[in-house]
Amino acid sequence: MQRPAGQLDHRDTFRHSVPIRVTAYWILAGGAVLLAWLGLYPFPTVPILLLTFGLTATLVASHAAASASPRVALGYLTVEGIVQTAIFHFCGDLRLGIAPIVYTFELLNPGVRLGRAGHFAVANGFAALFASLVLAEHTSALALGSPGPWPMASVLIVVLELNVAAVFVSETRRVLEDRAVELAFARDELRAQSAELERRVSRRTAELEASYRALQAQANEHRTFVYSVTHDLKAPLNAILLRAARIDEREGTDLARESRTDLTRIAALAERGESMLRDLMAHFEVSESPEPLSDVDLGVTVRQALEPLDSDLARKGLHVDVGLLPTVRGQPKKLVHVFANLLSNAVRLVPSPGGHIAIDSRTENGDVLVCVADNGPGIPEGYERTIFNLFTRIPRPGEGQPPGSMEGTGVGLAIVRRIVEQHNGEVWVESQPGRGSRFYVRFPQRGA
Amino acid sequence: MVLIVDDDADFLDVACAIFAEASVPVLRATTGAEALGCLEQLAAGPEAGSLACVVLDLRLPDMTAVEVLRRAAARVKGVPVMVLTQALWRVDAAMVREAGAHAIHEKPGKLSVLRALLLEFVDAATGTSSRT
Repeated sequence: MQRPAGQLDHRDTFRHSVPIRVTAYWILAGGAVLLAWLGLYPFPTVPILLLTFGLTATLVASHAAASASPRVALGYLTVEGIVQTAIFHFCGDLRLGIAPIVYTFELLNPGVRLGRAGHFAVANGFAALFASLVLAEHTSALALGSPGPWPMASVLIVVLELNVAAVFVSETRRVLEDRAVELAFARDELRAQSAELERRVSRRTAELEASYRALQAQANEHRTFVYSVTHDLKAPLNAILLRAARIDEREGTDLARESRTDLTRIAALAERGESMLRDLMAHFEVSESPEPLSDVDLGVTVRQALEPLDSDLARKGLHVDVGLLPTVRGQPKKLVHVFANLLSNAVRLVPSPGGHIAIDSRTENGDVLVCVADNGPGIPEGYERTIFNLFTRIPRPGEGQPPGSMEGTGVGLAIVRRIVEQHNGEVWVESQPGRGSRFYVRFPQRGA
Repeated sequence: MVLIVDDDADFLDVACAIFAEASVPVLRATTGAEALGCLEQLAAGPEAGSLACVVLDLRLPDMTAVEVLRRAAARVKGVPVMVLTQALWRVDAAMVREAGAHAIHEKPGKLSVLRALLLEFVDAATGTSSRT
């Protein structure tokens, strides 16, 4: 809803004043002529009528022209002033004619901060005052018995100018009121809009909080489910182990060789099931617990990952070359887990003595590429991709391992891949049997 | 006398066999209520005061180990209590200890480890050696 903008304009005010002035001029002129005709006062009727005609003509013409532009209106007011002055001079009292000139000059003064409307009001007020002084002078002269020729002219001017001033003042008041109403309206609109905005924001926040809580609850449920399932699976596996051991204790030496082998195998399988569960639990814990993102110095990460491997490194006489590593944006503890896993695999598999492990990094197309390289047995062809799958392990013949037996539970690398993918990255391996392995982790560009 | 409480019958069988082989008298219970009943009977009967120690599973079908300990606080006062669990990482150790447990262990899968754990606990409780 738009309120009409009230803008006080010379044109409007001038136009308002013109009919008032013309009417006032004619009423006074009529009055003066009547008084003269009735013989009550010796008004010079012809000059009065001439004056009034002249003023009317000027005003009507300028009224028409005022619709065109404020400057034209001003121009006509000036002309009116000059005409009035000339007429009054002709009629005998120059001072009366000065009044219009005074207020015209006032109009031309650009510096007054009252604005044009205020201008007009002030100018006309002054003119009225001036005219009152002249009137007073004439009246006192009249009292002293020698009236000047045009005391009534002063009355005319006073009335007219006060009228005009009143018009301007009321115009100004109207415009100011309009503006105040507009302002109040705008303020109300603003208040309403900002209240609406606040409402929407708080509703959104509540929605987001609710969905965050729901997600949290879901994650907790998930975690509880996984925990209770693994707990429930552990119990029977545990029992199998214990009972198999009991059989072995009681009758182990009496059993046939095949039965003994079977029994041993039962126990080994149960044990493997247990450690798979244990690994799964531990890794699930790591990959599911969210951490806030921060700037992670991979040098620090690798140092933390190497700490628990110190004794193994010492035992195997190994040394890890750590190059200059960058800082990436990610979840600190999870990244430690990634490198701990890659490094512990490497430490486990490199020969001793002569084992060598190196970590370094480079940038490629803005992405950060970290490489963990070892001179272990390498990975058989075809397993480079599946090695990252859950529960997939690879056979490592040679190195004194009996065929068919495998270390680890096949969980570690799967979790490494999961964590790296959570960081919008990629992990892969380049390897050849007998030539060692190079595990690469790519972290995307910052801000990607 | 050892009171062992666990709803896992297999574990209970193996544990009781271990105690039997070491000549340690054993009372077994499979629920919290049973356990409390046993404790009451023991306290009232002729063998009052002969309770050496208690081996308690963390989660029983009708109540948790913590609840059992709280309810039987008077009965097990001064008696060493060991709480066993399948999932050690889920345990609020502080709360369990506060309720009166002296030790918390993950249930071992290896027989030899379990035997050592149980018998050493009994030995410590009775101040004797019961290993055969």
